Amino acid sequence: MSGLSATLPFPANAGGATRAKIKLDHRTTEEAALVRRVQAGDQLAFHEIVTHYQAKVFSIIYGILRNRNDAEDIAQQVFAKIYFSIKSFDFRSSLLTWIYKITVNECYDYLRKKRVRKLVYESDFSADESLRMENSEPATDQAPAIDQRLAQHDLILKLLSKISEEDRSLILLKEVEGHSVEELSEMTGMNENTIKVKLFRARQKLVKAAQRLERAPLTPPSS
Amino acid sequence: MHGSIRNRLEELLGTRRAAEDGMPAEHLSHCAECSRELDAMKAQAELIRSLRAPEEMEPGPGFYARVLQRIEERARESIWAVFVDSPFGKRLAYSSLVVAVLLGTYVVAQEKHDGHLGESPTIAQALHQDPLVAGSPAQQRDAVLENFAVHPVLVSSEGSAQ
Repeated sequence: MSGLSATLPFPANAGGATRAKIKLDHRTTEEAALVRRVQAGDQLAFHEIVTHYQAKVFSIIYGILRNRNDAEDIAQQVFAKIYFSIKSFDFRSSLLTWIYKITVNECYDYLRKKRVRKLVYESDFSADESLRMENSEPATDQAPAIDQRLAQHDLILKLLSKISEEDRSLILLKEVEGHSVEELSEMTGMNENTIKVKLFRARQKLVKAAQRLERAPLTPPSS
Repeated sequence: MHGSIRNRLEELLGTRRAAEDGMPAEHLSHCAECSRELDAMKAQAELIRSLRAPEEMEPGPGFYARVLQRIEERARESIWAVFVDSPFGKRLAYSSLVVAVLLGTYVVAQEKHDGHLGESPTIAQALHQDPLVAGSPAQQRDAVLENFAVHPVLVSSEGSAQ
C-alpha cells in the first residue's frame, strides 16, 4: 500500500509545479497496471485501490453532504460500484477522474432520493459540529450566518444538479479539488481548449440557472 | 462574454490577479456585460469552493471489510444484475428476444400460409354439421370412425398440424 502511494501521487493542486505538456497515456501508467489486476479478479489490487482512494472519496462526499454517517455509507457504495464496473473502465481518463465522477454521481443519486432541501437542512451539521456549536459561547447573531450558509449550500447543490454529470465533475475538480486546466486535460484525456470551452459553458449554465432561481417566486419556508 | 475575457476566464477566476494586468483589465473597465458576467462567475466559483471538505477525512476503521460486505450483499441481491448490468448479458437478452419474436412471426405466417388457421376443429365441425355423437361407448366410437372416414382431409390436416 505504501508502495502504491509512492507510485500514484494525486495530481498536484493548482499553483503547483508546472508540468511538461506531454499527453499522458492512461493505458501505460502504473495505475493502469493496477486496474488491469483488478479487472483480472485480483482482490489484493482492489484492496490497494480502496486503501489509496478511501480518504479522497470520503472527503469528496463529506464536502457535499456534510454528514459523516452518510459519507461512510455512500463511500461504501462508491467502492462497491467501482468493484462491479471496473471492467468497463476504458483508460481514457485517469482512475481518479473516473472515481471522482462515480462519487459525485452517487452523492447526487442520494440527494435525489432524499430530496435535496430536507437532506441539507437535516444533515448539514454533523454530530461534531453540533457539539462544537453547543459548547461555544452563546452568540445571538450566529443563527443568520448559519442559515445563510445552509441556504448557500442548498443553492449550490441545486445549481450543480442542473448541469450534466460531466460538467459537474469538471467544475468540482477545478474549484473544489483545485486542479488547473492543464491537470484536468491530463486527467481526462481532453485537450486544454476543450476543457476551457466545457468549463465556460458549464459556468454560463450555472449563472443562468441561478438567475432563473432568483426570478422564480419564493416558496414559503417549511416549518 | 467577449473572446478576450473568455480565453482567460479560468485565470481570471483563479487566485492569480490576472484581471489586473494587460488587456483583460482594460476590457473589463469599459465592458459592463463582461464585467457583470465575470463577477457572477466569480461569486459562483466561490460558492462551489465551499463544497470542499474542511480537511482530508478518513472513514472509520474496518472500512474495507464493510466495503467487501456491501459487495457480497450486492452480488447476492440479484443474479439478474448479470443481465441488466453487463453489456454481454444485455446483448444476450436482446438477441434472445429478437429470436423469439422472429420465430413467433414465422410460425404465425406459416400457419396462415398453410390455411390451418381457417380450419380449426371448431370451425370445421360447424361447417360439416356432423350428427351429434350419442349412445353407448361402442356407438360413439363407431360414429367417430365414420366421421373420420367421411372427412379424411380434415383428419389429415389436423394430424399434420399436431
